[in-house]
Amino acid sequence: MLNYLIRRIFTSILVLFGVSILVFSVIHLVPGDVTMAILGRQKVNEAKVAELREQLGLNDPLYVQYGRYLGKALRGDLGVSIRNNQSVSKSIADQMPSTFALAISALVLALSIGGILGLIAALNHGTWFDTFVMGLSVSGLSIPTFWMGLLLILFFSVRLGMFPSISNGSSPAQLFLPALTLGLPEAAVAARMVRASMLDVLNKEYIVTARAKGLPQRLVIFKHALRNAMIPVVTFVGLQMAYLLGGATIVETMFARQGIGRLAVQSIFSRDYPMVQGVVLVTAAIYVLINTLTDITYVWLNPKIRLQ
Amino acid sequence: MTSNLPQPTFQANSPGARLIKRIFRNRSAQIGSIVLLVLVIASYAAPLFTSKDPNKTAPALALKSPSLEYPMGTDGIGRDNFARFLYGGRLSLRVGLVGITVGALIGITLGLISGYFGGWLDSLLSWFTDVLMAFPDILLALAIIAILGPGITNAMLAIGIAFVPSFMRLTRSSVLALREMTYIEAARSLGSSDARILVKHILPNSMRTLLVLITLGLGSSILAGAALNFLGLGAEPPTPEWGAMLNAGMKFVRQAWWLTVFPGVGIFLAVLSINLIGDAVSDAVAGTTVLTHKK
Amino acid sequence: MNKTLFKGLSAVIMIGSLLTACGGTAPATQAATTDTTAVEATEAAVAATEAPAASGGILTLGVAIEPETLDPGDGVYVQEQFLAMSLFDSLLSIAPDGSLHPGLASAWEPNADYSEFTFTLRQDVTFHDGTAFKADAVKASFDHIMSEAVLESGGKSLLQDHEYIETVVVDDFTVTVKFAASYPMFLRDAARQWLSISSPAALEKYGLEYGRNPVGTGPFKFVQWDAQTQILLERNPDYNWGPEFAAHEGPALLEQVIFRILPEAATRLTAFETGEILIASEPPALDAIAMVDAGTASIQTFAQPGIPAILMINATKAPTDDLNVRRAMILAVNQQELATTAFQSLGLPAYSVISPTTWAYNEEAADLYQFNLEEAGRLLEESGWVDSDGDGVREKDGEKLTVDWPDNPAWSEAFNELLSGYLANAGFDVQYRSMDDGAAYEELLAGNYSLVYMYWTRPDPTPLRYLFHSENTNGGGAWTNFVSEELDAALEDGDTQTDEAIRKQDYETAQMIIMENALALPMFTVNTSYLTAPSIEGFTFDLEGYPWLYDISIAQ
Repeated sequence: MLNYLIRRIFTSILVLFGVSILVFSVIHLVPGDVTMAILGRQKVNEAKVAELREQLGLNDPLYVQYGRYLGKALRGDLGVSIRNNQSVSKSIADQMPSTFALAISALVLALSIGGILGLIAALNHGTWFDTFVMGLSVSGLSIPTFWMGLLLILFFSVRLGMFPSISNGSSPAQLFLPALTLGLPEAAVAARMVRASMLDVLNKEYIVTARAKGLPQRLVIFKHALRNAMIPVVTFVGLQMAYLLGGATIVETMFARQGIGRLAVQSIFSRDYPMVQGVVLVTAAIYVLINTLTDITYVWLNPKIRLQ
Repeated sequence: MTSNLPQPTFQANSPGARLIKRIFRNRSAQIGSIVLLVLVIASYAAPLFTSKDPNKTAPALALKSPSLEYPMGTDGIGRDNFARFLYGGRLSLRVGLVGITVGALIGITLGLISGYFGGWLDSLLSWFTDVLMAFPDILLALAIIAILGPGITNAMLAIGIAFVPSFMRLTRSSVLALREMTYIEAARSLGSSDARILVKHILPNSMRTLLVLITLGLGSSILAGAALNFLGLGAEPPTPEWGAMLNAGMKFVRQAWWLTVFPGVGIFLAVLSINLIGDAVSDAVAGTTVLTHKK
Repeated sequence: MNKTLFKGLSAVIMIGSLLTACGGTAPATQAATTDTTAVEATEAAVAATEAPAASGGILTLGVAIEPETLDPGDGVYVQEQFLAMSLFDSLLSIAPDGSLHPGLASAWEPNADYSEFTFTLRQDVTFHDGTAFKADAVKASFDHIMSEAVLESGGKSLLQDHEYIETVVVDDFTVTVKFAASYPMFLRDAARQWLSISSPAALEKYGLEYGRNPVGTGPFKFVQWDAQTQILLERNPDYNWGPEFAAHEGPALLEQVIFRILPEAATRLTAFETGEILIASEPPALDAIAMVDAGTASIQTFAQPGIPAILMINATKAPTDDLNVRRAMILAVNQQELATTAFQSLGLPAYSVISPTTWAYNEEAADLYQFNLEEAGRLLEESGWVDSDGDGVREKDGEKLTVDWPDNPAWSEAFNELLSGYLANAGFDVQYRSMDDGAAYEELLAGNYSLVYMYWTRPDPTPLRYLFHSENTNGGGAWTNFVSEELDAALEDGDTQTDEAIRKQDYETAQMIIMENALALPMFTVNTSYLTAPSIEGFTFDLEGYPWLYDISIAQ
C-alpha cells in the first residue's frame, strides 16, 4: 500500500508539473503580440507596450519565465489581474467557496436522485420501471444544461416564484435550482452506474449464497450488495468532479452566481490572461488532487486491487 | 478485450457485420436511428422542406407565432424560424461530427503509437494525456478558444482537442492487450512493417471498443458545440445554429416560446438519438467497461 | 456600455461646452454645524440607527457591467461613474438643467485666462473614515490622478489634456488648481465624477488597493464588494451637504444600496420580475413595455446627446471607396423600422451624425437621405454593381459587393443582423465578424474593415473632431480615412472659436460635409433605460444619464 501510495503521488506531481507548463504556455500561444491583445481598449503607445512586457516578464528567456512562474505559483502567488490589479490567488480564493457549495450540492442531489432510481431499477430489473428509469437517464444525458436551466428558471422562479432566479449564497433555497441544473445530468450517469453495479453485484456468488442462507432480502442488499456497489460510486465521484467544475461555468453564468467557473468565462472574455491562467491552474490542481484521493480510497476499499 | 480469434477485415458474416446486426436488433437503436435520420435529412435537404431563406429579414413580420405559413413562427427580426431550424441543424450536427472526428483521429493515432511502441514515447504520451485529462472539458475548450479566438472552426478544433485524451487512453489500453497476441506476433515474424500491423491488425480489432466512444462521444460533442455557440463563441450572425438560436431566443422567452423551444428540442433529439444508438453499441460490444459520458 | 477604444473614450471626454460657464453665483452655505470632527467610522448598524428619521429600505439594482475600480480618479467606464456618484462628491455640482451649483466648494473664482481656479471649501464636511475634509484632500485627489498609480482614466485625460500643473493649498479651506493651458471647461469638469474628492488618509492607507476600498464624502458609504456579484453601499448618516437642487436635504433616503451585477439582459429581467431587484438597467425592450402596459413597472429613459449609433464607413477601401456605394448603403436602411424593431417604442431613429437633442444639430443634413431601396439600387447600378448570377448579391468584375464589419457583439447584438438584412436587400453581402474589443481594434488598425460601430455621449458635437478630422486617421479614431480640408477647417474652428454663432455654423457645415459624402450610416439614438418597480419614488437622471440615488426612496 505504501508503495502504491508513493507511486500514485509521484504520478500526480508529474501531471501537475505538466499542467503548469501548459498553463504557463497560454500567454505564449496567443497569436500575435499578446500585449496588443491585452491593451486593445487602451490607447496604444510604445511606452505602454514596453511597460506591459516588463510587467509580464516577456523579455526574459522562456525557461527563466517559466521558473519564475512556477516558483511564484508554489508560493501561492499567481500574479495580478491585468483588468483590476487584484491578486489572482485572492480572487480565486474568494470565489472558491461558492463553487464548492454548488458542486457538492449538485453531487449530493445527483447521487440521491440517481442512486435511488438506479437502485430501484436494479431491484426491478427488466420491469417497466427499469425501462422507464433508463429512458429517463438517457434523456437526462441528452438535455443541454443551458436549456434545462432556462426551463427550470421559467417554471420554478417565474411561474411558481418558489426559488430565486439569481442566486448567490449557500442557503438551500439559493442553491436548489443551480444545483439541480448542474446535478441532473449527473443523476442520469449515477442512476446507470448504480444500476449496473448493483446488477453486477446481485449476480455475484456471495449474494447468491447469502440468499441461499435465508437472510432477509433487505439485509442482503444493504449489508453486502450496497457496500460493494459503493466502490464504483467512489470512482464516480472522482470522475464527475471534472464535469462539475466545468459545468459550473455555464450554471454560474446562467444564475449569475459567484464562482470560479464564471470567473473563468469573464476573464476569457476580457482577455485577462493571468486570471485565466490562475483559474485553469487551480481547477486542474484540484481535479488532480481529488483524482489522486479517489484512486487511493479506491485501492484502500478494494483489497483485490491492492494486491495487483 | 479477449475476443476469440479476431479477424482483421470485415466480411459478410464477419464479427463486424454481426456486431452491426446485433446493434440494430435493439429497439432503442432503431428508434434512435430513425430520429437521427429524420434530422439529418431535414437539415441537409432543407430546400426540399422550405422555400424560405433562413437569413431573409422582414421586420414587419417579427415574432409571428407558428402557423401554416411559418411552421415554427418567426424571430425578432422576422426571419422564418422553421428555415433557420432546418439550416441550423446542419451546422450543429457538423460541429459535433467534425469535433469528434478531430478528437478521434488525433487520439487514436497517438494511442496506437503509444501503446504499440511503448518505451519512453509511451511514457511521454501517457503523461501528456494525463495532463490534458486534468482539465475539465469545457474549461479546456474555453481555454483553447481564449487562445485561438472565437469562431466556428476554432470551436470545432477546441472540442476535438478536448476529446483527444479519452481516445488516446482507450486506444492505448486496447493496443496493449492486443500487442502480445499470437497472430500479431506471427505477423511480425513474417516481416510485416509496424505501420502495416497497426493499420491492418491492431486498429480493426480496437474498433469495437472505440466504436462505443465514438458514438457516445458524438452526442457529447454536439452538446459541447451547442454550449459554445450558446456562449457566443461559435457561429457568426446571421448564420443559424441551434445553440446560438437558443441564446438569441432567450431575449423573447416570454413573448415567443417557439424561439427557445424548437432549437432546444433539436439539440435534445439529436443527442438523444445518438445516445440511444450508443447504448445499443455498448450493449452489443460485450465486455466493454462502462463509460461515463463526458460533457 | 461602450467599450471599444473610442466608444470607451466617450466616457472620458468632458461634458458641456454648451454654456460658456463661469462661476460666481455662490451663496456661501451656512457652515459650522457642531460635529465637524465626527466620531471614527462606526459599525454599519450603529451608524444607521443614528440616522435621522428618513424613509428607509434597501434598494437592489441590477446592472450589466461590473466596474473595474471604485477609485473615481482611476475610472474609465460608465459603470464606475455611476457608482462614484453615490460614494463621492465633487468640488461643484451640475443640476439636470445644466446649471452650476456649489458642491464641496462653496465659492469659486477663475483667473482672467481661465488657467487658475481658486475654490473656497465647505468646513462642515467629513469623509466616511471620519477624517475632516480640508484643502489637502483636493490636492491629494488630483495629485493621485496624475501619479503613477493611475495609468489611464477619465480624470487623467481631463487633467493631462489641459496641462495640469499643481494644486496649491492656500489655507485649510482654500485651494488653487493651476493649469498651463487655459481651460474654461474646468469648472464644469470639476463637477464630474472623475474629479471627485477622495480621503487623503485612505489614499495613503490603501495605496494600489484604494480602488477596492474607496472613501469619499458622498451620500453612501462603501461597505463590501463581492467580485462579479455585488457591491454593497450603506447610507452615510452624517451627510448634510447635498446639492441645493436636490429634492431633499440631509442623508439619503435609502438605507442600503446593492448593485447586483447581472450581465445578461434576460437574467436581469427575470430577477426584476421576481422582485429580487427593484431597478433593472437596460431591460429587453419588448418585456419592459409589456410590464409597463400591465402597470407592474415604469420605464425611465434618457436619450443620450452627442454622436448617435452610427456605422462609420471606410472611404478608402473598396467597395466603399465609391461615393455611390456609400450613399446606397444609407438609402437602403429604414431607420424608423430599425429602431422600432430593435428597441420597440423606446427606439428613436437617427438620420445624422449627431443626435437631435445635441446643440448645433443640422436638420438639413439629416434630411439628405430618405429610405429608398430603388434609388439605392440605381446608384449601385450606376457604379457597375449588378447581380448577374441571381444569388441576391451584386457583383462587378467578378468581385462580390462585400462589406466587412468586425465588431464585439456585446455592443451590436441588438441590431447587427437587422442591419445586415437591410443591406442584403440592396444586394450587399455583409460579413459580420464577432470578436472581442482588443481583436476588433487590431483589425481596425490593420485597415481590415468597411464598417465601424460608434456612439459617443456628450451634450455637444465636439467628438466629431475625433471621428472625422483627418489628423485622426491612421488609428486616431477617424476610421473613415476621409480627407477634406474644408471639413478639417470647420472642425478645428468649432473647437477653438469663442463666438458661439460661428461655432454653431462650423458644426452645421461639418455635419453637411459628412453626410453629403456619406461617411457614416446613422442608425438610432442611444437610449439609457431603467426599469423601475412601482414602489420606487424620486427617480431622476443627472445630466449624463446616470440615475441619481440620493433622492430615491422605496414606498412601503
